[in-house]
Amino acid sequence: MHSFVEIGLALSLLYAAVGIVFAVAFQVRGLGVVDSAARHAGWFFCALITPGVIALWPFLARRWLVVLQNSGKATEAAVFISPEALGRLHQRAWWVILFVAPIILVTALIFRPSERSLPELPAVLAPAARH
Amino acid sequence: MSNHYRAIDWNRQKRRYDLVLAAIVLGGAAVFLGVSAWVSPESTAETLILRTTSITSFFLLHVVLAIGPLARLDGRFLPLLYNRRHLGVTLFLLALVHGFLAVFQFHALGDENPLVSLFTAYGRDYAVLQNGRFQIAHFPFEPFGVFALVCLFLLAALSHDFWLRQLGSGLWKSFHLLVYPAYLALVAHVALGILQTERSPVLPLLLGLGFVTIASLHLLAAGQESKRLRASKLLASDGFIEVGTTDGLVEGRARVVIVGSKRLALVRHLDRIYATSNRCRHQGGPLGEGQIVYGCLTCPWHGWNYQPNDGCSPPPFEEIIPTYRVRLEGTKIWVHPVALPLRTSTEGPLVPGANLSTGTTSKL
Repeated sequence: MHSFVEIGLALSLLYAAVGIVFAVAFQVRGLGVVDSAARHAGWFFCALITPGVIALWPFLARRWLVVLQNSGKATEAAVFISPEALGRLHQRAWWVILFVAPIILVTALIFRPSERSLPELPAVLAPAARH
Repeated sequence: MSNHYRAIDWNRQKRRYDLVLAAIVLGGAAVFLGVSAWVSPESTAETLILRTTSITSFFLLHVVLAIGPLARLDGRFLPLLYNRRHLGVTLFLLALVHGFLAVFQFHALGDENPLVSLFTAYGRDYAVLQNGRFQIAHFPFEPFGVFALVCLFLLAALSHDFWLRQLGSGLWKSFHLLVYPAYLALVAHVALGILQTERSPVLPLLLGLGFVTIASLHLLAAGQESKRLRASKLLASDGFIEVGTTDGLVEGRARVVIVGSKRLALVRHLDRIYATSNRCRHQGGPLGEGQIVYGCLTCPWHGWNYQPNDGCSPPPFEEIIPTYRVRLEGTKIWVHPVALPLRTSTEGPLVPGANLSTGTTSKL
């Protein structure tokens, strides 16, 4: 478990590091190419979109490549899902919440320890963790 | 409506919205902080801030989830919907403060990487199965919080219009459905975390009340939508569908109608009736809740404009929405569910009793 977490963390940090490098390059050269409305946008706008650029850098890199291959013409985003399918997905998400949320809450309340047998916290967490 | 991005498109409504939001968040947090400090004077400052940020952000999440169905059920709640992204970003920032403080207080300054400890501390020190019994209080609850924080981060990071354009409205809205797994993860985080040690009935009651409230609102809104879908009638011969009458269709105002499985905007402009798609090309706002401004059907969310006769935005803008054929039989309005080819210019049927000699100069 420990090594899985460490590997996962290392991969996430690597992804974020590549994202940061990409974000710099994208803001300098790619932003106005991919979206003409962003050509004269201010620094605050650039700062606002940076976290998203770091998170979705593979998607933006592909879009940038497509625009360059299309002789610099930005294209409309592809239709990912129709409004009707989105509505159905929304409904299904809600049916899941309707059943799962009460199950979690009720289970947690039924099986929680009695007052006398409250779990002892490990030394590294106590005493600051005593709420 | 602009074809250049700004960080935030400030207007009077947005400023008012944000001021009210700041007042509620800061005021509520101050009250909670004060009450907590009075009830538990032995609690440290970090503990109080942890509790305050958690309760405030969880409350905001419920507000965010309630706004959608509320706005469907009663149009007076629509202004809450217009700048919901500001609520979402505030919610994420509060959750981030909570997350940072929790990692620092419970996992830092030890001999383990705090981010690794976040996922492994419980497994290292507790056993979920102990003496053959399931110990739910030993179940690691913090990873649920991390998952929720990642979902909320994506929602906040992708909230700008730039992302709507890059991702397309379908993918953008799909990302925003992450608010539901975030909600479930937070219910688990609270239920398996603080509820295992906190014995006051207040917290479980609040959690239950929050869930019942948003579930009820969603079920009511879904019921209303089903009723409207069932009420739409079909003309068998040529496919037109009756959507209502001209009574109550006020000059310059639009109305949402159900045509088959689609929601369309019906608008009366210069005594002629037009039907367009109900979805604004900007963020999918409900054009049927808008009105005519300078001859254009205007989205109530962010003011994007479309000419009702052909669905085109006025130059220099290039957005287009589909338009639909409209027929009048007396005062009854019939609309064909198949859209006309884009940019097709139509002259909508004249409302009975309209005076052609007045107001016929087109502002289009």
